[in-house]
Amino acid sequence: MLDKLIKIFIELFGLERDEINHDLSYHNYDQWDSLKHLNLVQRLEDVFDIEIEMDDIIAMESFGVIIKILNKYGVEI
Amino acid sequence: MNLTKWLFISSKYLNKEAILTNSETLMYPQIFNYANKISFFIASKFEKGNIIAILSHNSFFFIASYLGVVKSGCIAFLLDPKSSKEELEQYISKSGANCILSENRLLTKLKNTQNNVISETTISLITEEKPIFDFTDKYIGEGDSPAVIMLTSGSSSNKKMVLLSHKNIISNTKSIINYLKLNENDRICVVLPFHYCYGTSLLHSHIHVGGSLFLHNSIFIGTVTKEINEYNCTGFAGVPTTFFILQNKTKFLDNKYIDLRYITQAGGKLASSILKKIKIKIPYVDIYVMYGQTEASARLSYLPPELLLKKIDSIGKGIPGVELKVIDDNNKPVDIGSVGELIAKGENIMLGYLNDEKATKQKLKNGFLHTGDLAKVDRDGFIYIIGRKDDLIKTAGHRVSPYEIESIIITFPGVIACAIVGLEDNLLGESLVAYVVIKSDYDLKEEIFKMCKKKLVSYKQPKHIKIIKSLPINSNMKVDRNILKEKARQEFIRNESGLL
Repeated sequence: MLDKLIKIFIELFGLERDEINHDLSYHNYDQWDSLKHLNLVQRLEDVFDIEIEMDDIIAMESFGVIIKILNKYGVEI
Repeated sequence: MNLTKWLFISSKYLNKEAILTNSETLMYPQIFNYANKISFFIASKFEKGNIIAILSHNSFFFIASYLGVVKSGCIAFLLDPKSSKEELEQYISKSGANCILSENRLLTKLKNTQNNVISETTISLITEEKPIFDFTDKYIGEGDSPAVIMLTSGSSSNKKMVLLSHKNIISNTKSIINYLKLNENDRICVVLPFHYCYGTSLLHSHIHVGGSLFLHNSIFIGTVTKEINEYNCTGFAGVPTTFFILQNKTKFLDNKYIDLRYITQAGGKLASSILKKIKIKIPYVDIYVMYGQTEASARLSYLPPELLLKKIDSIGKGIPGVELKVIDDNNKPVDIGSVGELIAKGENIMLGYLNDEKATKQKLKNGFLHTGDLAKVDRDGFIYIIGRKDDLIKTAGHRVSPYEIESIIITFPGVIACAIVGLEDNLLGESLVAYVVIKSDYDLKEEIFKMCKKKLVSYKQPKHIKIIKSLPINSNMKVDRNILKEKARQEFIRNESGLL
């Protein structure tokens, strides 16, 4: 499952695998803007077949936090 | 009169909030003094008419820099902070900007820039040597002299630099205040970037009436569903994408709004199904559908909210002070129901494009702005945009507007968004390609093909339908048709080459 999540980040942000870590956040990565954030939500919902609540969409500020939020939706990572 | 002076003419001494964010509030005297400080600094270093670029997200720094530069008699060139390093470099060198005022977090984007970069920190360190510089009598830069340069939407390669005068913007702002009935009790919830003319118009109108602006600053636009009430906003302005996201992804329409008086929508056509839905769900909020162009300082027309359902799909009529006409190829007004180009006249029409006389001459003819938009007029004089002159697709001998087909496909069950582009075709001249965003993973392609065959005459039926996760959007939040065209070329021409 972690691989799937990493793949989404690689495709969406054009990052290399080793650039992705728990601290990767929209605060420190310029490419991660509001439109990309929305694409990210869409991809996560599609790939993991979940529907993310608004409060969680807002809280998803980093790769690490996203893993925690996905866990909440029953996605084991 | 100088634009900045006019904007603050009655609001500068108001002891009330001007700009609010989630963390901080600036009162009118504070923002006025901040702008004055920058104005003094700029005026002491640069000549009147010099171009000063501003690179910043929506923030106190943006507002003070913009208003300060304009007040100094220099010309403020508003850059898009989402641009790449290369694009920024290109705009800066093309414009001949003398310096760039940059927000701290964007400085890395200017590393390769040769020009003089002045950071937010440098500005914050200025201590005035004199009491607040007062321009009371000798305003430099006013009336017909240029105040602002804004970039048009469109793909990065053909963005144009629009030169607007102090008078252009003052005239347009007066008109907007008039038809939106804005006053000092109004507070707008801002999600649009200030470098985009629709965003800047919110700033102008609210500062002039002494109202206030709440700057939304979250990674997800959905927070506005709470913020509108939390910050007692009376107005909300968005482009089609804004309302698309809000009604698909949030509880925007299920909320009860306490102070919200009106919503404005411009920047492209919003599907009438969504407009109707908004009207039904929050009937107590006035909805203003509006139309404009950067070349018109922002606004050209609006539809009075009480006519929304009666004249759905219309952009209304010219705003006060603007004359709109729809003309045929011989420059004669078209008959009711016939299609022609929309042209506009008024004090808000730009001076021209910077350093591009040829494009200016094509756009401004006999005092009229040729919008490049195709439109129809109904019996009561209401205008309906049919499409862009450039977007028209010539297929099988017909001229087809992508918008017309999109507006039909979008009504199919399960469809969220759609864009039609033309693709070179040996047989048809151009064939139609539909890019469709759907609600679930379920592949509706065949269904959509079937529906098209039912609802559209043969030459309006797409040859290819492609399901796509989302439509590419340009920096002004409009669908980027050039990207889709290129995508279609790559996907379909290559595939077909073996067959042809």
